[in-house]
Amino acid sequence: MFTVFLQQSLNGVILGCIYALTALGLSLVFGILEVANFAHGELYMLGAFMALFSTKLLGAPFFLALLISMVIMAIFGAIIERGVFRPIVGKPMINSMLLSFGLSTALANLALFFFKADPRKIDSGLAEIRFRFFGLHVTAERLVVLVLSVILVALLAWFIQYTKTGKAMRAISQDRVAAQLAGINIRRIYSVTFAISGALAAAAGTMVGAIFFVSPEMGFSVVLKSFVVIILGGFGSIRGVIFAAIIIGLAESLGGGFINYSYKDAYPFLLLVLLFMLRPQGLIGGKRS
Amino acid sequence: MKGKNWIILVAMALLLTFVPSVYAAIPTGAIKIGVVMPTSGTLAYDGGLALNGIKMAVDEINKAGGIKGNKLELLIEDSAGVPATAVAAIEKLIGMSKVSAVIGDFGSSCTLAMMDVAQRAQVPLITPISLAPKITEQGNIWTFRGCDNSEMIAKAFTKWAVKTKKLDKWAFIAVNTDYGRGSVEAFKKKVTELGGEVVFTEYFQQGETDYYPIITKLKATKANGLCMFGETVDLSRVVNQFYEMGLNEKMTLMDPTSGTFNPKFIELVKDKANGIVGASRFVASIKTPAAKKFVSDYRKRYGVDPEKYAQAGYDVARMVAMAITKADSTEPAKIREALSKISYKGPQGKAHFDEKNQLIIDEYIIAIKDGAFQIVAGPISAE
Repeated sequence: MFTVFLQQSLNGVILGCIYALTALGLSLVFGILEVANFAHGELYMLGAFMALFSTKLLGAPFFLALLISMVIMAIFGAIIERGVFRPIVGKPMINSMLLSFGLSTALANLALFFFKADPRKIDSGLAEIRFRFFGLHVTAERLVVLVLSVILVALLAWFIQYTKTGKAMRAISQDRVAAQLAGINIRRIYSVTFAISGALAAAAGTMVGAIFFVSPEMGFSVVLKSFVVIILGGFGSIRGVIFAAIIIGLAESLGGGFINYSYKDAYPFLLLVLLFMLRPQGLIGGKRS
Repeated sequence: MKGKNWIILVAMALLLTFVPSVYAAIPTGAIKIGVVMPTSGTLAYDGGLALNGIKMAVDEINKAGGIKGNKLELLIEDSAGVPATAVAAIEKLIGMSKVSAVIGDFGSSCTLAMMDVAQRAQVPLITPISLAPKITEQGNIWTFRGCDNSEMIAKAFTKWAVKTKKLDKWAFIAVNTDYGRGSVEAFKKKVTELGGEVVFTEYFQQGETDYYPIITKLKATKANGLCMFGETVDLSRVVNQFYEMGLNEKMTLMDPTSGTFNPKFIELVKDKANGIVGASRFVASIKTPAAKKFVSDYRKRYGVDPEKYAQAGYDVARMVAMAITKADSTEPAKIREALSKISYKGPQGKAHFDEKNQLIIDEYIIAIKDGAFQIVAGPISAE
């Protein structure tokens, strides 16, 4: 029984890592541009397709495909920021919600049209390598997800904490006007933020595409869960988001394993409702850092 | 002017004299047949296979001159696997397009939802895929099942698995739909009747990706056989994760309704498919001349081997055409009448409908080995 519990927890943490990657990008965009990007899941989906095409058509190895997909989606992220989101920055939230929802539907259907519903898998070659310790099973593929997520999150934290651009991002999230007065080129920062968000989503999509599948509708459920994660973790707080993502992963895994699997996807939302009732200020609480 | 009127008069007289001799109940023009299948959503791939079979059958019939010179015309609607959409689709086909018969749907939940519409409008509805036993248990004479049902499969398969293969502790993982739940019920009954034991049952939502929670739980049981009910894509994930957890050393994988017995599944799980056993009414390796011809024609057209969905689509479309020919009419009521008395022979073998409009056909026990579907036992008669 204890092994089962440990195994479920391990599965949950790995799942949580993927949620953390998608939610962080969403959280950054929300914190800095103050837009709710419902099309974030489509960046994740397109990222997975880019990696799939890199492996299938160019014959790129998994890690190179991951890099290619991240670069392409960073550029794509910057493009949609410039073309779609920039005109509505500073407008009421409902604008960005409707706009991004439309964008999400458009992108998902374009993907359905061009890439077809035919489910495919990114071949990482790592799923066949399996480790076993203390009665726990884990594939190399899932270990890679764990390690890569930690590396990417660490990189992001370092970037935001220590680089000039990162500092500018934090300044804008605190006070856009003051940051502008201090001479920060906020347009450039907007593009950079969306590029980072796109790259993180692509990384998550690629890893999910390897573990599970790549399909045009994969983005939809992920974006909802990511919103749960950032609400749970407190907007704009990196630590809070990671913490919340792991909790969501664990809730799904343990709830699915020990309570009822059919309602697996309901547990994160149930947690959210509980949070609103018990701690309306968020898990970590207070104003964002 | 007067001369022209005279010509028209003669022409009309000639036409009238001709009418009795060319009189047929089938009015000239295309015969409309409606199809409701999921072409988007999670069932899009499997739905497309059934559609492949239907289209091939109709093209063959049309190429051979159609039915008494009239071409068949397919009107295809997407149900997306959603019952409400399926109902809207069949309403549109019957109400607006005035089709003579409807083929569909894929999921049992959708077919169950459409049955009432078919009965109310009195148009025959024939499903090539849906397995839930209750479809043919409701006394709805307008609905036909053009394939085996889970009870028939359960009977043939459990006998072989429990007695010959000696699997006595069963675990079930099934999709949370009428088909999944209906199949599990039917199998549980047969397994316990034969002296086996059911130690684990879990249901998943269609399109689920992460099965680790239940696979982990399954690992802690004493099951020696895992019985799965679901479609290609979902089951490929189950099998992949089953192997990742190292369960393949402990239990035999069973897929009695053979949702996995198609090339796409093999592509998705590769050699992990080895050793999966199941029952199927059709696999491409059946060696009868009719099956061989069907397989080679299908491969020529689509580049892959047909599986049971394509076969069912093909057979059902041909059965409908046969009923129209027999009824010598495009009237839905006459087609229904003819369909219920049909005696059909297709690539799968002989088939006819029983008094509940359930198709009676043979079953084969199949195992996957190196990407090929081998017949282990059969044909086993369902009667």
